[in-house]
Amino acid sequence: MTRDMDWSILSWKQGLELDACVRCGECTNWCPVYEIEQREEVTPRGRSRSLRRLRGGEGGLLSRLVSGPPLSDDEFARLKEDLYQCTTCGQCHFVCPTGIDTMDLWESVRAVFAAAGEGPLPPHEALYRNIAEYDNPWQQPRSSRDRWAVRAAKGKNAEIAKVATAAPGTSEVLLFVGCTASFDMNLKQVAINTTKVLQKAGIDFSILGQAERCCGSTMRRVGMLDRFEERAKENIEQFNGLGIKTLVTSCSGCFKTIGRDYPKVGELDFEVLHVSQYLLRLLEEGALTLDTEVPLVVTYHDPCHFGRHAGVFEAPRKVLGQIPGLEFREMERIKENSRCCGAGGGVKAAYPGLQGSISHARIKEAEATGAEALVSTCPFCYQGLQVGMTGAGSALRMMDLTELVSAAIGGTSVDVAAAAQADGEGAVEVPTEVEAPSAAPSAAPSEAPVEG
Amino acid sequence: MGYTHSILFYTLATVALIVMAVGVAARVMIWRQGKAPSWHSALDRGALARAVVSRVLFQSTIRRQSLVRWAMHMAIFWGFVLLFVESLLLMVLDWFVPAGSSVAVFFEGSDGHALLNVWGDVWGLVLLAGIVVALIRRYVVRTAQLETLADDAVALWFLLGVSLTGFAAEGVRLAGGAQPAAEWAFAGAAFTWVADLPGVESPMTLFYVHGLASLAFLAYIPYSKMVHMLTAPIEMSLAAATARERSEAI
Ligand code: SF4
Ligand code: SF4
Repeated sequence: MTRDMDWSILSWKQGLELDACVRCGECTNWCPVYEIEQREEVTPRGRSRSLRRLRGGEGGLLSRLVSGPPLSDDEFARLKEDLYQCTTCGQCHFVCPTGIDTMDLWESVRAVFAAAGEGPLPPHEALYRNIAEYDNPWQQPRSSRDRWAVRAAKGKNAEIAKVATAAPGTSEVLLFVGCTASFDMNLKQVAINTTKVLQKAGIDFSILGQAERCCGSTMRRVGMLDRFEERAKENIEQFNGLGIKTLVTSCSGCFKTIGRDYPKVGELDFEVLHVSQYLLRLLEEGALTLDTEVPLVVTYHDPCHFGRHAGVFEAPRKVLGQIPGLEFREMERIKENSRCCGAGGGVKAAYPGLQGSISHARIKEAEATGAEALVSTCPFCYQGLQVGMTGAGSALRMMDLTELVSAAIGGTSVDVAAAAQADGEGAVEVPTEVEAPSAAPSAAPSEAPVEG
Repeated sequence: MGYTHSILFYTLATVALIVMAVGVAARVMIWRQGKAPSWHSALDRGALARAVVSRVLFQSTIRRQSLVRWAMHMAIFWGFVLLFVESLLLMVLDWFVPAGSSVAVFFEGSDGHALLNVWGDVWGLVLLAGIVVALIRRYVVRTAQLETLADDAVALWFLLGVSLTGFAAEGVRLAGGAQPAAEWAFAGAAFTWVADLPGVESPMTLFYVHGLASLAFLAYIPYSKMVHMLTAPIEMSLAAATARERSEAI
């Protein structure tokens, strides 16, 4: 069978990386997928070997001599699937003694497969179609993107409503809400809490409202490189056209995509900050004070795309450290070695069972700290971890950092939040604002997007 | 030195190096299929230099993971490198250093022999110790993280063969008669019995066996997992030099 693989999509360094594995097996001690699957083929070591054989098998005799026997059709079919049994968490890069940049490598190899029509998997294609048609992977109408803010006008949160009605580009700060916080009924609260906190700090900011479009993380992660670059260029043009100085997002997936992937596509005329970084800046400048006691014991989950992929570990911890009454406990695996929630890289969409098992392992680790709540800084991890909590029947409460900060400015009572969460309500102070879309994304894990 | 150069040996050495070069070229051609940029901002040369020292020469990343693995790999790495340096030195002495020059006189004297004997024995033992630990981890302890394919087995046993034939060659040389500074060849002295084995009548037999095994190993590098001897140092250094663009602490 002829396979039309275009290896020029890789860099020469990535070609070398496939030959740089020393087969030490350190990655097998850490890979969250291998921990569940226990198959050599899903490890970086096994995957590199298969890819070497695939690549070398397409060349002449010498190429085969240095690469091993060519892959059979069956092996190739399995490799296609195994390539997507990877959350792109980047853990392997941090433990690999050779330092192979697997974070980029796996995505680039997926791009080779996608360009040859050998990837991504059908659930990922479906997500792409949603993004192309609706500008979000959740299959939700564009008109409902800012519903979380618009409906506030009818409720008690007139202040929040101002955000929705302010014309984008009139402020120097843009809050990029992201698809998950915009549409998931359990996570609209992230957008609301972020808004409350920024307003409390007196920040003049705007949102794009219905003009906000998916950042394209989904396409990048599963290897749809051309489509991602197209989307990135359009968004960069839109953002640069606003004349903003700072883009703030509360989603780690959007942060990594806009802050780390977009600059490889085009120049950004503004800084990109995660909301936890921005809040820390406001706290340090004295623009924001946290003065309401939040009597909770919490632990923190580093989202892969915020921690390992973007190198931000301290900002959320420092913000948590400033919340009065809060007791913070670390899990066993943190920062560079933080255990993945299992949702990223297309795993939640294509392999929901695997995602649930990985998430379950993380929940067990969080429970071992004795914390009452597990805090994260990514709506997508929030969703992913909640799957594990449900599976584990955990008493832990899932929280976003903004919820705690909102409580610490007196904006939200965490008890009310807990009650709302227990009732399946995403809204805390404004329950009437948050309406479940007819096909709630959190109820359809197989349709889940792939950022995180 | 007890060794004389031979046209046959150096012809074989040339063939081995050509085979090795062809393998490396095949790998490089495959890498060069990649056309995307390998990095997006200037390389951090300071980080690169530091990585060469700490990650490549002192293998700090493995040390953080396991002291046993670190000691094992350091022993194999430095044993191999420093024995290779000795082989190169012998070749240079044999071919390029004029007889009667002060350098030649030094190495022909007992001080020079003592230095080479100690150097070869110490680093030979270090290499052998590393290989033995690697064999124990793989076949006795059966460390869970190790997977043993044919390539892994061949590489390790091949290296053991190169190491043992080196000691055997030295043993036969020492058994062949009075040698300057022979008392410094403490490890080789334990192998003089090899000279009594059938088929080892000529002191040159084992020298050729070891020489050919070493050359075959060099030729084998790019066709096996041992290619990491070339690729891993490059990747380790570049990983550090590009860490900043990944927002990683170095
Ligand atoms: S990126 Fe994460 S899931 Fe993928 S191979 Fe590496 S450790 Fe495993
Ligand atoms: S940790 Fe790195 S070098 Fe070791 S087996 Fe895994 S990919 Fe290969």
